[in-house]
Amino acid sequence: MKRPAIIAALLLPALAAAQEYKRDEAKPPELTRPPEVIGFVPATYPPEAMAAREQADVTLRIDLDATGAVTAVEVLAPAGRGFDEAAVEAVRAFRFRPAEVDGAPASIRLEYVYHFRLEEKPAAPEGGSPDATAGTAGAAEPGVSVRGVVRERGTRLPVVGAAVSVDGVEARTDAKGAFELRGLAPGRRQVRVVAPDYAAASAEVKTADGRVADLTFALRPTMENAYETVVRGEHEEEAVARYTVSKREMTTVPGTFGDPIRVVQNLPGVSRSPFVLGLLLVRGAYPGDSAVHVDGVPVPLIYHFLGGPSILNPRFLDRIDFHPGNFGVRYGAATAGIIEVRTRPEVPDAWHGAADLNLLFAGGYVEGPVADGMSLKLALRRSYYDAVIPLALKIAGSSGTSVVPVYYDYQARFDAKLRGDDRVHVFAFGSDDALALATTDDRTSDQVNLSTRTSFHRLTGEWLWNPTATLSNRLSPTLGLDVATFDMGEGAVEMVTVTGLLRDEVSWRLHPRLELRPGIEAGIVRYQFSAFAPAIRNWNVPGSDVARRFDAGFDETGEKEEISRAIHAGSFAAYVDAIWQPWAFLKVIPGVRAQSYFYLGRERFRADPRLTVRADVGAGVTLKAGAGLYSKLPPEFYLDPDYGNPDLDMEWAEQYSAGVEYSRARVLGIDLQGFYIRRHDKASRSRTVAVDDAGDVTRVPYENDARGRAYGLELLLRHDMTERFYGWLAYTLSRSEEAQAFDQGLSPSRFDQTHILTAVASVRLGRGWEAGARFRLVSGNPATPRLDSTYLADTGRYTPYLGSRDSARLGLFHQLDFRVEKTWEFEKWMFAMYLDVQNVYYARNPEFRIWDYRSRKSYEITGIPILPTLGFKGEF
Amino acid sequence: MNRGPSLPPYPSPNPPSCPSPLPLLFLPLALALPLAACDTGFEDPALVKDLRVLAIKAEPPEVIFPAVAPWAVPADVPRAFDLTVLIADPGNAGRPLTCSLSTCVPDRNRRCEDPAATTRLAEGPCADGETTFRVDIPSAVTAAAQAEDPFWRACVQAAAADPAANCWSGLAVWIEVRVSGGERDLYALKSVVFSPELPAGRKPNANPLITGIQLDEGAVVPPGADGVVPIAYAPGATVRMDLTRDAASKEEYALPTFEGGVRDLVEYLSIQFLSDAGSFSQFSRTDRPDNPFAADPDLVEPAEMWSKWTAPAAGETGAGRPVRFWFVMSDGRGGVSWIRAVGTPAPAP
Repeated sequence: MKRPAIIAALLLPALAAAQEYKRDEAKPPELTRPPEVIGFVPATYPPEAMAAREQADVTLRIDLDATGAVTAVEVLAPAGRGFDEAAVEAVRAFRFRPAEVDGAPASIRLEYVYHFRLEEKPAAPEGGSPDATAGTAGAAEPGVSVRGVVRERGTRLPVVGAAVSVDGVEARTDAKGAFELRGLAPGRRQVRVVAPDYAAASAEVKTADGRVADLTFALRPTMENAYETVVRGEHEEEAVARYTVSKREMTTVPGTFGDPIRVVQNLPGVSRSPFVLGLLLVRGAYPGDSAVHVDGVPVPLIYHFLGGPSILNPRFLDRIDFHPGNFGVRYGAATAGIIEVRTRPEVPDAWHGAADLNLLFAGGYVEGPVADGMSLKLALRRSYYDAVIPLALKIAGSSGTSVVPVYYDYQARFDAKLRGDDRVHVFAFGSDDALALATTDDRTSDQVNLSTRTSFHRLTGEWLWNPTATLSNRLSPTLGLDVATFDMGEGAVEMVTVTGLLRDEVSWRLHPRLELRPGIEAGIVRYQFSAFAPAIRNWNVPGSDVARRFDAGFDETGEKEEISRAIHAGSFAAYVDAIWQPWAFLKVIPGVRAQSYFYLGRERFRADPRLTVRADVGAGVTLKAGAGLYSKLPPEFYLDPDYGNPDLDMEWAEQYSAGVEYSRARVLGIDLQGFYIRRHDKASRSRTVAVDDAGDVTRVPYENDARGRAYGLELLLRHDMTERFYGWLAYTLSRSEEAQAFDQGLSPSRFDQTHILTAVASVRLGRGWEAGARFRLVSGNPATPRLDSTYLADTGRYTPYLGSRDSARLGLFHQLDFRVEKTWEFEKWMFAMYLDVQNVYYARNPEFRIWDYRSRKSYEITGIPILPTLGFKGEF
Repeated sequence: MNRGPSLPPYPSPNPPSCPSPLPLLFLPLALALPLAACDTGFEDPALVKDLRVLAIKAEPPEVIFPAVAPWAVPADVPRAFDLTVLIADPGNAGRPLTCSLSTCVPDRNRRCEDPAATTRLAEGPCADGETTFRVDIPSAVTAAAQAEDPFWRACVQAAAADPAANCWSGLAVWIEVRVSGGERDLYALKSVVFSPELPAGRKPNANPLITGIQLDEGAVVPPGADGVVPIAYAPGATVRMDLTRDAASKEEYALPTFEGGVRDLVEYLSIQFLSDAGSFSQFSRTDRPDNPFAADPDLVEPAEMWSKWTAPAAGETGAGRPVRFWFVMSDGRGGVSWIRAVGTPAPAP
C-alpha cells in the first residue's frame, strides 16, 4: 500500500544561492543565513490524482519579506490536476525564519519544487533494504534516539534537505547530509526518508532509552536534481553578456566529446572553428584576441593539440563563464572575449574518485579530506593515440603513417578552511603536448624526429580574507613556466617563458548600495629564446619582393648559427570598479583599468574605462548596456627584436553593447543583445622597407596598420535544466570586417560568419539513459575567389588572379551530432558508457578550397566525416 | 577596354572522387583523410592539353650600367631586348594568335590593368612554337619603375646617411605578354633587369644553355638542326630523361647586401618537364634545397634533376602518334632557356 507523501524543497535553492554568492570574485552581498521553514503545512494530495496514482512536481516561486512572511507565490511550472492549487495553498501558510544577507534580515525570492509522491512501502523489518543500512546502537546521548546520514547512491554525495521522519517527528538533513531525531519512544520504529528527486526509502530501527541508533541511507536519484543548475543570482550579473554553463551541461552536450570547455563554442557570439580544432573565435575576432583564465590565471593553451580535449579534468570545474564582450576591469590582455574557468572550492566530506577511459585517452580523478577543513583533489590524464592508431591499422591489415598528438595534463589542488569564511588554496596544473609519428613502419619512426612540444605549468595560490562583514581581500600569487620547442632535422628552436604574477583584489561594501572593488596585478616575465637554425640572410635579387628578400632568407648553403638571448619584461595593472545601485532596480558599474607594459626599455601605457548598466524593469525583464575600451599587447613573436618589431604599440578596441533579458521561472530565458566593436592598431604583416639607425636597409615585419570592426545581434533562447530536459537555441547575426593596411578598405575578416545557429537539447529518458543532439547551421567562411591566373616566366609558376578580397564564401555548414549515455548506479559507485557521434548524416561541409596549378579548377576540402567516440566513466 | 576575366568565381564544380569515408574512431586520421585520400581531379601540369605559354626568354636577361649614386638607370644604357615566347597550342597547330607586349608596375594580380600606367611595347602574330619580339624599354618606363621601387628609395636614403652604403641591386622591368585568339586570353609576365655595377666587376646574368637530353642515363642526344631533339619511344615504356647543360649555366654571382656588404652566390637551377602525351614522374626539379634546416653544407648540386616519362600505351590518348616535349630551365633570377623534343613511336619489333 502506498501512502501519499509530499516533499517540499525549500532549503535547496537558498543554499545554492549562498554557494554562488561565495563564488563571486569580489565579495558581493552575502547570503549569510538561508531562510528556514519553521511552520510547515502539508499540502492536500488531490484525491483524484491519488486515486489515479498520479504523482507530480509543481515549481513555485516564493517571495519572502524581511520578517519571513510569504508575500507572494507564483506557479512557474504547473502540473495541473489540482496539484498547483494544493501546493500554492500550502505554501501560503508556511512560516519562515527570515533570510539574512550580510548578517541582517532581508527579503528574498526562492524557487522550489513541491513534489507530490506516493510513498513506497516500508522496508523489511530486518532492515535489509538495499537503500538503507541500520546501524548498531551507539553511545548514550540524552535526548537523541536516531541519527545518521543520507547520501546519494552511487556518488555517495550528501543529500541536503532530505526529510527524515519517525512517528511524526521530522528532521531535515544538513549540508553534510546528517540528521538527528530526538525524543523518540523506545521500540521498533520505521524511519522514512524522502527527498526531492530521490526515491523514498525507509528502514526499521530499534530505539532504546539512552541509546543512539546510527543509520546510513543511500538514496537512488530519480532524476536530475533541479537545483544543480547554477543559480544566476542578481548580484552576479555585472556584465552585459555572460553565459554560464551548468554542471550537467558541461559534460553532456553532443559533439563536445563530453568536454566542458567545448560547450562554450555553442553559445552566441562564438564563430564556428574549422574542423574540430577548438579555436576560440569571438565575434569574428582572431583567436589571440580572446583570453582564457583558469581561476584568474591566464593560460596559453586551453585545448590539447589537433582537436584534443581541454587541459582540465571536467571534475575540477565548478563553472565556466563566457564573456563575448564588455567584460569587467579585472580582465586585461584581451580585446574580444574572455573565458573564465573556475575550479571547485568545496571541501569534500569523503573520498571520491572517477576514471574516464575511451579509445584515445584515459584519465583519473580523486578527491577527499586530508584533515579537518582541508581537502586534496588530484587529476591526471594521458593520451595514447600513438599506441592505438598503429595497432588499429595493423588489425585492419593496412599500413600508414600519421602525425598524432601525445599529451598529458595534471591538476592538484589543496583547500583549507580558515577562521570564519576565510580560506586558502594552492592549485598546480599544467599540460604537455607533443606531436608523434604513429606508423606501422618501424623504420619510419626511427628516421623521423618530431620534437615539437608545447607545455605549460602553473602554480597558483589564493588567500581569501574577510576581516569584516563588508570587506574582503583576495590575494593570488602565481608562478608559470611555458616551454615551446620546434625541432626539425638539424635545426631547433626553443622558447622558455617564466612568469611571476601577483594579484590582489579587495571588495569593500561602503554602503548597502555601493561596493568598491579595487585590484592590482603585477607581473614579470623572462623570455629565453634559443635557436640553432639556418642563418637568416637577405637575398637582394632584383625584382624579388619584400617577402622573398627577407622572409625566405634562410641561408641555403646549410650554414647554421646559434642564437640565444633572454628578454625581461614587466607589467603592472591597477583597476577599480564600483557596483552602485542608486535604486533597487538599477545597477551601474563604472570602472577603469590602467595597464603598463615594460619591454626592451619601452613602456606602453593605456587606461581603459568601462561601464555597464543593468536595469530590472520588472516582469522578469532586464535591460542592459555596456561600453568600454580594451587593449592588449600584440603577439609575443611580433615584438621579437630580430624577427618582429619591438616598437609595436598596443592593440585596442572599443566595445559597445545593449540588450534585454527576459527570464521566466529561471527555466525559460531569452537574452537578446546587439554589439558594435571597432578594433584599432592591430599588428599585421608589413611590406615596409626602412633604413635603421646604422644605415642598413631593413624590413619592418609588423606594424600597427590593421583595423577592423564588427557588429551584430546575438540571441539565446534557453530552457534551463529541469528534471528531464535542458536545451538552448543560440543565434548570431553578425558582420566582422578588417583591413590589413591603412590603404585597404574593409572586407570580411577571416572568421566572419553571417549566420550562426546552434540548437542543443538533452533529455533524460529514465533508467539512467540520457540522449541529446546538437544541430549547427553556419554561413561559410569568407574566401577570396580566383578568377584566372598569370604565368610568371621567371619561375615557371602561375600566380592567381584574385577577385575582391574575401568577396566569396565557402558553402553553408550544417551538422547534426548525437550523444547517448547510460549510467548504472550502484550503492557506492556508478558507471557510465557513452557514445558521441559527430556529423550523423555525413554532411560534406567545405572547410577550405584548393586549386589546380593555374587556378582553373578547384576542390573543396571537407570537414570531419562521421565521427563516433565511445567512452566509459566510473565514479565513486 | 575590359580586360577582366569573364570566368565565374569558381569555374568548375567540385569534381570529388574522394572515397566515402568510413566512420572513423580516430580524430587525427579523420583530419588527415580528406587531404590524403581524395582525388581532386586536377590536371597534371606536365601534360600540355590546351593553349599555354610554356616559357618566355629575354635576351639579354640583364644589362649592367655604371654605378653612380643615386643609380638612376641611364638613358643611354642598352634598352633593346629580344623576347621569345614559347607557346603550345595542341590540336590547333597553326591557329593564328596575337601577342601583345606591354610594360607597367604590375598590380597585386601581376597584371597591367591600368591603361594610364601601361606602355605598349609590341604586338604581332604568334602561334604554336617560338615567336620573338624585339622591345625597347623607354627611359620614362625605367624612371617610373625606379621611383616606385621601395628598395631603391631605401638604398638612396641609406646612402645619404652613409655614402659607402651601396645596397641597391637593380631594377626589374616587367613585361606583360597577352596571348589572344584562343578560347581565352592568356597572360604571362617576364622581367628584364637593369642593374648598377654593384659590386664592382659585376657581370650581367646570362640565360642557361641546355645542350641535350640523356635518355636512361645513356648517350646524350643533342638537338638537330631544327633545334628539336629526336626521341624514339615504345608505347607504354618508361624512360628516364636527364637534361645536360653548358657548364656556365650555373653561374656564380655577387649581390650587394642590405647591410652594405657583398654576398657571393651560386644560382639554383630549376627544370620543368612537359609533354603533350604520356606522363612524367616529376613535373619540376630544382637543385634548391627544399628544407634549409636539413641542407647539406657540402651541397654542390643534387643528382636528381631528372624525370621519368611513361609513354602512352596502346589505346591511351596520344598513343601511336608523335609526342612533343618541352624542357624549360630557369636560373631563379630571370635567366630562362628551353629545349624541345619530339618522340616518335618505335615500330613494333
